[in-house]
Order: sequence, then C-alpha cells, then structure tokens
Amino acid sequence: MSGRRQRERGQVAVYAILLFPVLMLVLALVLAVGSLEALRTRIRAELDMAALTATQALDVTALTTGHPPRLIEPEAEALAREYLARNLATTGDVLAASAADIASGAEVVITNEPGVDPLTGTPDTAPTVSIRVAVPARIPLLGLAGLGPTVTLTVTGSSAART
Amino acid sequence: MMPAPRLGSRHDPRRGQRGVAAVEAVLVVPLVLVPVLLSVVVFGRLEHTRLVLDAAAAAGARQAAVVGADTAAVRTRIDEELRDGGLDPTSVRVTIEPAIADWGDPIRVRVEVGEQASIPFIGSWAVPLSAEFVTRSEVTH
Repeated sequence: MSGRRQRERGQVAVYAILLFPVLMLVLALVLAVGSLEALRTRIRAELDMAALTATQALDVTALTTGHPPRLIEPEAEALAREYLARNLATTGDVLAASAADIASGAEVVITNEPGVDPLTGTPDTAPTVSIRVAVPARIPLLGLAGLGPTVTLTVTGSSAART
Repeated sequence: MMPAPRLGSRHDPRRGQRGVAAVEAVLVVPLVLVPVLLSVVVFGRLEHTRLVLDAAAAAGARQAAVVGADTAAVRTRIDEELRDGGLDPTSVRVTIEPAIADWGDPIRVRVEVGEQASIPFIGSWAVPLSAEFVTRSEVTH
C-alpha cells in the first residue's frame, strides 16, 4: 500500500468530526442573531405603540381656545412610560429585567417647540413624544456562541401629534 | 519493481475504499444537510408568521383605541392584515379586552395561532405564536 494512499484514509471522518461542531456553532450563532433582531423589531413596535398612546395627552382646553396643539408634558411622559411598561410586559421571558424597571429607566422627551429632536436627531414640526429605551435581553444561544447570554438592545422612536 | 496493480483489480489497495465516499454522501446528505437546510426554511416561515401577527395586532390595537371597544371594525382590520400576510384569519384566535373600554382605559389586543414546525428526519413540533399590544381608548361611551 503506498504511503500517500494511507495518509488520506480517514480524512473524511476527521473532517466530519471537526466540522460538525463548527457547523452547529455557526447555526446557533445565526439563530441567536436572528432572534435578537426579531426582538429588536418587536421592542420597536412596542415603543411606537407607547409613543403613539402618549400623544393622547393633548392640551384640549388650549386647542378649543384656538391655540396650536400642545402636549401636556408630565401627562405625556407618564403615559409613555405606563404604556411602554404595559407593552414590554407582553414580550415574554426574554427580558432580563422587569417591564416596569425598563420603562422607568427609559429616556422620554416631550417637545412642543419646533427644532431638532434630542433623541431621534430629526426635525420635529409638531408636538412629539420621543423615547429611547435600553432593554436587557436574555438570549441563551448567544452564550453558546461565546457572546454572553445577556445583551442590551437600545431602541429609539417617536410619535408626533397632528390635528 | 513490481508493476502497479490494475485499477479496480483484486490487487488494487483502493478497492476496499472505493465507494466509501459515495456511501458517506448517501448518509450525510439526507440525514444532515437536508434537515439543516429545511430547518432554515421552517424557521424563516415561523418568523414570517410572527411578523404578520405583530403587524395585525398593532393595526388592531390602533383601531381598538379609536373605537374603544371590541367591534367588527377592529376584527375586520386584523383579518385584513392577516390575509395580506398570507395567513388564514379563521385559524387565528383574536382576543380583545375589555369588550368596551372607556376613555383613558387600557385596551388589549392579542392574536394567536398554532403553527406546526416539521423537519424531516428530526421531528415535528407544535409552535404556538402570538402577538399582543396594549393601547388606550380614545372614546367616551
């Protein structure tokens, strides 16, 4: 039997044994990043719903006396946090902190004057509720890929009141 | 020097190895590659369903806030979103509570569907998917 032929025997088995864990690891990483992005989309939608709900805090008396639309700042901020917490609570067990804690730690900015929005960086032309929230998420597959099971997703969004 | 044995002859040392790669391919392709590729497709489909549910629940929640109740308008709006996303509305359970929400009260819209994920050679699982949003009624009844 020639030496070359002998060296090649069993190579397929070595490939299979070495590559299989690598393949599985890559798959785990793909699934982890996928679920992370899915979670970001979900949190973005929840944040949008909270910002939209907070724009209900319009100053109705000012509006009926002919003034331009204004948001009542403390009321809008309280609504934004309340509905952010209510919607975050529907996310499930991937959150690494309670929905109420995450919502109370969120940055909420109510702008009534035109100008550049401090959170989104885009011009506000109408009364706007802007929210930035940092959500700690637990993705077990990320731990498998060596990235730590908890990551923090930061999501920003806003909603404007138009009449 | 001995003459090299004829390819495939009884004296060819490769004879015992011939076809091994083919046998491995026959085992590996259906048992490993096909399930891996199909699971990518199955997960993609589940993720699509989840996104459609999210969109339907969000649209339904907005409509529910505007009418402040569990009405046909809300359910039609949700069904439209589900159909647009390629889901059968009859297979989706929609919960809107409370049935009547007064101004400033929270109103909750939840959509649920039982999906089936089946990967050949691996198994089949029931995957319950749901989406839920909470918003605030804008009407006084």
